[in-house]
Amino acid sequence: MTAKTWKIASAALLAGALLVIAFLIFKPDHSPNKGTGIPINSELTQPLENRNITSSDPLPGDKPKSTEQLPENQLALFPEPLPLDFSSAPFERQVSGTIYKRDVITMLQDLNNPEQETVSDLQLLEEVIFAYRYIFKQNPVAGENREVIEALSGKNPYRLVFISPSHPALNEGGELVDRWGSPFRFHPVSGSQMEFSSAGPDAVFGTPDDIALEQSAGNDG
Amino acid sequence: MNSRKKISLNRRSFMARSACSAMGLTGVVSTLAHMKLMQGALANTSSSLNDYKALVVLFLFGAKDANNFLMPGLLHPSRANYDAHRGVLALPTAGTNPTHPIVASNLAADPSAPVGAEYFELHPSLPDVKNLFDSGDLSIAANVGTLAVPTKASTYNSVALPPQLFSHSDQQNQWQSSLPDRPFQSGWCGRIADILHPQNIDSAISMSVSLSGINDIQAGLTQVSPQYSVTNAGAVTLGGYGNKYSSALTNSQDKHSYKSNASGRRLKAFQDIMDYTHDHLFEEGYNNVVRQARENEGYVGEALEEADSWLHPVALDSRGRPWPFMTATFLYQHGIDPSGLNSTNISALSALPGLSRQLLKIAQLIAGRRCLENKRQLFFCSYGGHDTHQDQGGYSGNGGYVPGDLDANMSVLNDALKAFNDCLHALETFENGQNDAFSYNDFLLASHSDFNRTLTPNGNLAGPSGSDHAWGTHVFTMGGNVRGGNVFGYYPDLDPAGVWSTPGSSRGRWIPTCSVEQFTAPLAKWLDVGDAELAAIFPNLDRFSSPFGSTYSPSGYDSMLANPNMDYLEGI
Repeated sequence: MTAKTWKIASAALLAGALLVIAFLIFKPDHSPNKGTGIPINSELTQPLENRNITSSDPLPGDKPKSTEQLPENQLALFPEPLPLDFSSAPFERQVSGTIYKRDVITMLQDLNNPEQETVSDLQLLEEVIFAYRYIFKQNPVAGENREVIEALSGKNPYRLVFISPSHPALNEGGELVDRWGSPFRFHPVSGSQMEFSSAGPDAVFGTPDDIALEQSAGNDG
Repeated sequence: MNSRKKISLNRRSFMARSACSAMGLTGVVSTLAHMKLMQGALANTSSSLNDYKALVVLFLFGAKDANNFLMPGLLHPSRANYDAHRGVLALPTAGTNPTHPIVASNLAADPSAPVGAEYFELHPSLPDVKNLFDSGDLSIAANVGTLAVPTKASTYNSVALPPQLFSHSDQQNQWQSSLPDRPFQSGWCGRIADILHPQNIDSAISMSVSLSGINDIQAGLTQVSPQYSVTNAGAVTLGGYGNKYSSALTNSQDKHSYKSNASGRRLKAFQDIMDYTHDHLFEEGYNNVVRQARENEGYVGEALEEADSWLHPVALDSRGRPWPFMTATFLYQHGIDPSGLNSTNISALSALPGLSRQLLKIAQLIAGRRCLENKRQLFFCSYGGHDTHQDQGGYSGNGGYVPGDLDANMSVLNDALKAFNDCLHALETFENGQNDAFSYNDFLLASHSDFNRTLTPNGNLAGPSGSDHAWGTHVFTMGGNVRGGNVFGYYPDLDPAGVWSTPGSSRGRWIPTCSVEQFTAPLAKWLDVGDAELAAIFPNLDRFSSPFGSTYSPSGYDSMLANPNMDYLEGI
């Protein structure tokens, strides 16, 4: 084959490839599910967020209950949790179906330790949230202290428990309180950034004795 | 004679060439996809864009407390819940605090509206906004928020919710994209610009102008209309040459009128370097950016000078010269008498809050629009500091009011909106009879905010207490085509344990009855985006009931979701 023939053949091949691409893009859309071409209940549809998980709920990885409402949601933003082996430490599977993350539960025993400063409590909370985010790729979806604690108590895709249900800093409302009995404030700045604060000895937020820890933006790789 | 060398490919060069090839194909595919979008736009948009329209989006960052922005009036059916649950943050309908009752005309005229549903009050620091509402320039859309699908309390735990509800940056991002269930790629204004900007035939600069830096809402899928940032002082200029190059140029409008001093010679040398062409693509690209910035700076400067040539009839500066009309209007609104102040000194405007300076600049760019040659313009501005977890302002135990951040924020908002609106009304009068005269109907302003705040306070002391992150919020629109004096959407019952509230929370977080795209699609249509393009700009819109022509139908949540009551614009 001469060089000229090669050139012609290459040009023809390139033109053909472009035509195919153009056809694929501009072809008329006859699918009933107009928009994405992704079929309903496609495997590409990500699980919906797991909320209010009880022992009768499907285990993580099962198909979500209601994907038909998101026919175009092939890019749903709920990230896949980190694949984990729950058969060994630091995980302990409970009869109820929940799984204790023992290292974090142990770490949290130091919360409100009178021998340490309050800021260390906030740093501890930061570490707990980091542990959660490391596994679930995002912070707990929560606007309130109670919702953060629910997520840390097993209301998450793996039913992982990061805080002991009998932790002395949990009040009757399911909130985590500081050493003076006031609920910590969890301030969700983004899906990977949360700020933590304590109302301080006067138990009132917005006063000079408040103690705050601003978490740096999450970049967990 | 050509001879082709046989090139042996090792693994490394094969990988490199494959990658380059893939990138090239990706670019082709991307370009073709964008062409498809544009092709659709050009084929379907019937308007020739002969008229002028400007849309201003004002983002109130930090989540303004909409529960005290728009409160139920004394006779409103939600008032009892407001008083019962708002705690120290509750503002009374009467007493020591001035009240601002407004009557929503659309609800007053609707026999299906519950008794008293038309009576509302605006925050006491919004007296001029109340007047704008009463005069028909402003309307409010109640309970709007990010939604992936129509949602109500009974389905809250089973349908997809916007990811990271209650987190600031995620919700800000989702408001701006209107696509909460997708990774961010573009903002809804950016997608409008993708379609409309090519029809700005003689455009001098991008139709997407930001007074608040680079943002998400104006990010397009293509680069046909990249965001152009303007500061409160105008276009960003080269530093070191004085105000408007006064140290280096004899005439700021002639970029080659160099002074014979060091600054003039330095600027000339810089200009000469910029005028070189370069073989290297990166060098040439860099130069193009600088050249384009200088060009844009010239156009914007011209537009601002055009606006400033419109002089105030009364206000004279320290040299006895009239102030530019719009600047003087903003200063008066903020209680600053411009008489005797130096009008050439930018610092004279430093007393204006940032939001007012942004809206002043937008008003000036609208007045100088003929220099920019855009038939459609999208402006973005913002005002932060609304995250009032504490010091929001409220009533102490002894009945005294402790002012807080919300009072200050609403006051700034009040003055900025009033002055901006005054300027645009006056511009219509000023240009009356001119060719392509500005009409008050040529602009719209729409507000956004991250989310609402909780109804219940986070404390019981008036000073330090505030409110926390919630969901559905109340937004407003202003402009000539707004069906003003009305409250659209549905106002919540304000029962933290009721059907409007997210299950499991007792804080009062309202599930939106109107999605962001149901609120913003009418704005796009007002800009003359065609019906077919609406689907490209708002791909999730068909999951929700159409906002166009939707009516008030309050008989149950399903009925409200089916009728979002978002027909708030005339002429679309």
